[in-house]
Amino acid sequence: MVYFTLLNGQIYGTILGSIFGLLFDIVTGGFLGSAMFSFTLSGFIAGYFYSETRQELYTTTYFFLLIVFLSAFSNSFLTLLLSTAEVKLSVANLILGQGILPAIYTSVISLPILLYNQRRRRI
Amino acid sequence: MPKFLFQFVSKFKEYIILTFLLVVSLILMSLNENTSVKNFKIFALGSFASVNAIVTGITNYFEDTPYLEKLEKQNAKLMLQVNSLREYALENNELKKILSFKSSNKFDVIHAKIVSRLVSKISGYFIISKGEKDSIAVGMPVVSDNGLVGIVYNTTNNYSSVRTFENSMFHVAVKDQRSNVNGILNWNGQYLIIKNVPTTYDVEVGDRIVVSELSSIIPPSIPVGIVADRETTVSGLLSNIIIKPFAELNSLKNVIVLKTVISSELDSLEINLGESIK
Repeated sequence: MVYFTLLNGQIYGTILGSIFGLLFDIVTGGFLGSAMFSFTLSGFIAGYFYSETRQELYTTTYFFLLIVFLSAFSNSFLTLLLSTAEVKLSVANLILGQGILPAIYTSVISLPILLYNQRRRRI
Repeated sequence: MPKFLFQFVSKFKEYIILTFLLVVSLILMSLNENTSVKNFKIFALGSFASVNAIVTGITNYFEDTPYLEKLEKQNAKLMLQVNSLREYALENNELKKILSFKSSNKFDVIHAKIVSRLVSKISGYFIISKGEKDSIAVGMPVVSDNGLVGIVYNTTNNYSSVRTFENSMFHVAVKDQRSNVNGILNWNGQYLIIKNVPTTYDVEVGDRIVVSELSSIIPPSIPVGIVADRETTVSGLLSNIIIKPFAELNSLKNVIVLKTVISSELDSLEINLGESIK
């Protein structure tokens, strides 16, 4: 989602986020609307980094991982807040365990996309 | 005026679209209990489960499934029997006169595979490979060969979704098997916990926690876990009991559904299925 947002702009990212979020809600049988809300905001946040002149910079350097990290952090944090109102977690656990950790592994998973883009750029 | 509106829209179109989509998602959240939305979710659940079942089928192709299923069924029955015997041993002296005590090992069991673990650990649901066709109904308890796993939350013809104990909406009446102290068990996002137990009550680390007779949905004596810790609240009057569950949800591949009939006199303590049963 972040990659396509960086290529196509903030509006595209916001809409793509809401579609992905809705699909996620449907297939996981969870609280309908919660993932849509957080994915929409994540798409919007990723869209902030859209720039026609810096497109290549953001998709082929480690900036890409940073943007993925920010989007994933906001997404997992918000999803948790919205879908589990009854869960009592400490603020530290919310930020670290449910925000930063998922964001880190999402960034790591997105590494192949970055490496592929870098290779394609060299060619 | 129209010109101003046009300028406003073109200047803030990103924010307008964002606001619109967020409002749509908030509306969807408010419609979660709507019957047609629920029906749609059940339909989606069935469709998604079919796809997952194919993937699981491929990954389990080389396993000796019938043999494993037979063993797991046997394990679950033995677990219920062992627990029932333990219960008898503990209560024998006090309950000699009431030996008509309802046995908890007379259930028919249905073996089912987990076809999908829904992505977020916090959401605490998974989908199993048996549904209404196999006589599974909403509210039936789901166990592993180690202990309680959850309850059937939704059913389609061929699949069911299970609300596991790692779901913040899961509440069940439990008791300390040694001292018979009762409490309500729920998931706080990190641990299974029994809240607000008076500090004077006899609950010790290492005690076995089982489903209580107060529970009208899940049959009594099904093992749940073991007391791992006891935290006293600031006032010093109440404690929160942390339970380490017997069933390891992360490594579960198969589960057993107990074919029990839901009591019509639902205990108000068990609010898990309030909406579904209505």
